[in-house]
Amino acid sequence: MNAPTLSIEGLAVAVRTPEGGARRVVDDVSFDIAPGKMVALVGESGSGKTMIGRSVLKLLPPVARTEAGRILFKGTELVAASDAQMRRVRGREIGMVFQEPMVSLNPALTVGFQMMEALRLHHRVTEAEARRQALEMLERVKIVDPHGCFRAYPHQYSGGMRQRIMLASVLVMRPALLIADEPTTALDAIIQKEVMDIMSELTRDIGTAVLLVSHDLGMVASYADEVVMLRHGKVVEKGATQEILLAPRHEYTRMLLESLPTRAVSGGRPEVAGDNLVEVDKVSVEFRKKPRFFWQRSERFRAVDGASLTLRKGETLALVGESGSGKTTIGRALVRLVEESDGRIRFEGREVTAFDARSLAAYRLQTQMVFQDPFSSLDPRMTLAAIVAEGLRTLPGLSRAERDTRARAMLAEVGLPGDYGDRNPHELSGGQRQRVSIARAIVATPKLLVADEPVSALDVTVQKQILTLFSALQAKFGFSYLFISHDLGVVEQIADRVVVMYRGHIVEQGTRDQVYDSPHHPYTLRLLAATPRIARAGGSGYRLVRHEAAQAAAPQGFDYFSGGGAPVMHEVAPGHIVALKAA
Amino acid sequence: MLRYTLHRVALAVPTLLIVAVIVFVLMRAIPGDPAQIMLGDLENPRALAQMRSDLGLDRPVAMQFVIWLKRVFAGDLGNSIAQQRPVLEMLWGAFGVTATLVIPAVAIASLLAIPLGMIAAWKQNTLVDVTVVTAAIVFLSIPSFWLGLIFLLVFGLKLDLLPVVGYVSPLEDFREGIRYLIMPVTALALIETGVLIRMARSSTIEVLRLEYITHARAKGLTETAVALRHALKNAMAPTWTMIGLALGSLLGGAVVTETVFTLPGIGRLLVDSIFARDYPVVQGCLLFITLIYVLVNLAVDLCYPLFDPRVRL
Amino acid sequence: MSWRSLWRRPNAIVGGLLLLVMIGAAIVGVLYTPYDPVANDLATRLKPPSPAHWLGTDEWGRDVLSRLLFGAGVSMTISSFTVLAAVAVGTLLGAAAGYFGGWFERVAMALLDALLAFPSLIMALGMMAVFGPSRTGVIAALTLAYMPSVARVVRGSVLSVREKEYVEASRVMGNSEPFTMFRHVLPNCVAPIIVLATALFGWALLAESALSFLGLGVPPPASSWGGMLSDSRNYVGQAPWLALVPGISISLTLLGINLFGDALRDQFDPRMKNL
Repeated sequence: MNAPTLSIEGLAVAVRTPEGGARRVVDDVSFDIAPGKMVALVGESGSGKTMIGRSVLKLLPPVARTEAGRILFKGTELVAASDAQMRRVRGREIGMVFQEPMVSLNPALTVGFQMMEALRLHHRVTEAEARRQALEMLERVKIVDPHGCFRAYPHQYSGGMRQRIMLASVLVMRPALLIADEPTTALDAIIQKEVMDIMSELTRDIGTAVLLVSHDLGMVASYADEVVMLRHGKVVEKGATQEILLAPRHEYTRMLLESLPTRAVSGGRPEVAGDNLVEVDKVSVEFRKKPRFFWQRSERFRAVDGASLTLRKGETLALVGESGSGKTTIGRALVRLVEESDGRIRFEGREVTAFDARSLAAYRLQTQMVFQDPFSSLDPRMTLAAIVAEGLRTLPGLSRAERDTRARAMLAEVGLPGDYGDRNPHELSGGQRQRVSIARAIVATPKLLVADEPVSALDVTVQKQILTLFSALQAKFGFSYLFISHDLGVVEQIADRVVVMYRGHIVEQGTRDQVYDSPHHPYTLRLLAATPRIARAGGSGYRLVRHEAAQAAAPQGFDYFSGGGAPVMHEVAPGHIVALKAA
Repeated sequence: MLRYTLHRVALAVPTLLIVAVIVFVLMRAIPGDPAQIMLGDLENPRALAQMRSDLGLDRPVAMQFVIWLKRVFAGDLGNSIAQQRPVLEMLWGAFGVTATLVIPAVAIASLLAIPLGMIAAWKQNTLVDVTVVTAAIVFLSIPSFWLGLIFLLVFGLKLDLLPVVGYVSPLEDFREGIRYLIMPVTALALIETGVLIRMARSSTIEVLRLEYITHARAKGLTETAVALRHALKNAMAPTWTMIGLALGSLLGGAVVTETVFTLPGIGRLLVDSIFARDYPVVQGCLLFITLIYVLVNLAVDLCYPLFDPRVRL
Repeated sequence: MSWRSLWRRPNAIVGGLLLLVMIGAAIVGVLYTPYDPVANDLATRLKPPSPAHWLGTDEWGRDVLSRLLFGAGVSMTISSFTVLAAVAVGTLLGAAAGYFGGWFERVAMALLDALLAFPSLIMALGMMAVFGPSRTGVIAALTLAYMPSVARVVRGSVLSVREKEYVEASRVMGNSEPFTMFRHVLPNCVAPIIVLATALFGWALLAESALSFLGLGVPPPASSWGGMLSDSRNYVGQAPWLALVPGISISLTLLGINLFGDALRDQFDPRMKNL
């Protein structure tokens, strides 16, 4: 039985408060990591998981301090280690990958230089040898042009590629332990899977143990051998991943697992019948990039290309896709934040572009939007009641007092009753702010609500509350929702029908069951495969469900649409449409 | 990089043009006959008629501007009323003096401020930091001309160590030249050091917060290596721009300092000409100083990609 | 904006105290001085500080303290008006440029860049060449010199606030552009303007002193601190206090402004650290 690579005993980390005291953000945490195993620290925001990761390498922010406990790395105690000892360990024995690929590489230095830095420092190899090893590792992380990459600067690469470069530069040292702090949180689903697969494969090859810090239970369940559940700085449960899933003991673990979005919540949803509320007919939205010199032509960029969809009264239509798919742009076109450059948008049968000022004003009252970022969607200088009441400003015939009363009533409706109305946004949590956003959007009882990634920035437990709120409001007021999200799990729970978008085109649409159970388009399949789901497995246990569906062949004479030119929409089942192109 | 250069140069052109317009308008705003103004007190009907036609006073204003601009491009800035010499000649001579004042001041200020600012940022909120920041604030609150005056009083008059009037170019006679320049340069440099320290400190603090610094530490680099290899370049980028701006404020400060130390620089030339109503020289000084300032900032901008490759485009 | 916790910062306390003293002196100077600041009294020329004249007398026999107090009033009034004018014009221009964009923004920015191409003192000198020394001339000149900085900062602020989701929400709600601008965008841009205004006050004071020192600012016999310094040059050997007193006053005032401005900036707008 090998000694554990990392052994944490009774770790406590405290943070200095503005008043001068100290508050423990990590309290009496203990766990082990055996050689070559991946252990995940899981928790919501404020659980202390990031602090634990940083304290191993003594890279805590200046306001934090390790108060108690021991950190044993291959037998050596780290908490009491000197700076010189830590420097020998860092990079060589323990490597770290961070969350934001956009800022973790120095923009002023080439990739190659940054990769070779640790090699030359710790291993004392010649520059040629360091180059060779670095290039080899870049290939293993599947960077297409390793030599070019070496000479290039980080800003020339996308987020997913930068994370791979980070992985390469850390793993080229063949460390005994890799600490990965939310390594894929800022990436799209499919890229997340790629990066995690690479990380998993490489660490297994090299024999590196991994400490994975994450809030994503699905990802953790797919890759980690063991799990340590954290809440408010304390360990609530730990053990092998499968065991914890099958039989979660602590109620917090159970609550987290229950909060994960599932299909079961909505049950079998009958297809919503009814008139079309919104018709999007071959709509394209073009943006022009401002030219640098005034004599140049401005570059055009199609965010949405020939998209057609319909939204029925009372239903929830989900727009799914990764960043750059155009889903947000369609939502913004519906609320007239952008104008379509081609095609028609019809609302209750009337063309929206043809609206004069009065009809536009009326339309605005019928269509509202809930934004993604709870921290910038509310004016910081206003009270909550004023923020919500502003939504009634354009409704004729209401006095100020009446607006205020209605606003407060709506705040109560979303769960912020009483004197919440007098507070300011900065006093609220993220989830509470989203509630205010929702209240503001529905206070004038619109017919259509466009929700742009409304829960993406929230913890899982809060997410569940907001999704429940959405459903309750829909049941009570009869709203129709256009729900925009990149999170397939959330969409699975809330959507009646789903539209999948890729690079401005709609590639597949149908009812929720149709798209999730019998997807046709390869992109839909890739998206589903990249989204690990955790479902109930009898009793009080859960299990990881990987999406397995065979790729249906395209009809005779056609291939699946993958960009370039106009797609041909083909109905594979009633209401289930896939984008093809002539072979 | 070529595109970036062209872009920056292209941006400077309209700026200079508008500057020319502003100077032109300013000169025409002086009450009186524009031709007579250019001749000063000279009463010579023939010269007046000549000046009239030179300035194109019978043509529309826009044409006058073009005529004027053409002459400026050709280097003809007219003749000084007081000295009856071509203005351009006087400007070059005077600017040489100012350059020996301003360039060393900027250099000294930068060389002092950048390390001090970075160290203060590195040891934020310690005694070192507080001392540096307090010293910086105190220095930049002192008017440079007053400091110069105090220096004159102490080192020149009371202690009789250094000359109080006059100028010798260090390019001709280094040792003598230094003696004349030490006090004014120090006065200017000290104040500018205060300004630049704050800039260097704040941009270093910004950089230190960023994740790639933590990442560099995670590789096991020593603090010095992290500071010099990773932080310095990125912190320098905004500081470098500030140095360009500092030159502008030094050019302004030089005006007064030259007056205090009676140095024959371009600042003093401007002031003296204003008093002497020697408007051709006034015009020439305004154009020249601004041109230099724009060119210097252009040069600073062109060096910016050295520190921040993201701009290279 | 939490004004109360501002006062806990040491910067704010020291700076605020200094400013209070100086502004107090200015107000006093306007209302009352121990002696007439412009009256000559050739019998008591160049007397060092004494109980009768706390700060001594100058070459015309005028009481230095009185001139100092009066000069404080003059300098601060000029600086205040300059700041007000520069902020007013600059905010209008910058907000319009930031909000409307398009060709208006480009033209405005080109103009402002050209104005900024003049070192501020040089621009001021150029204008004084046209106006001749006068108080209004100084105010106008300095306003023109500093207004572009305000415009730029305001424009930057507007540009960044414009993209916030609560501004978009305002449009989605059906609010008109002007309403959105005044209700949501501008109020959230106030912080950097306040910080800049404090810095401007210091720059204006320094510039006015420099101009008066050169003889192109406030015309005599009115005393401004810069003018007093200029006068002291001829007697620097005999009467050093004539050079020390105004200079120390200017320095202390600027110190107060800088300290207080720093505290303001740290408190309300850490983004502005690069000014």
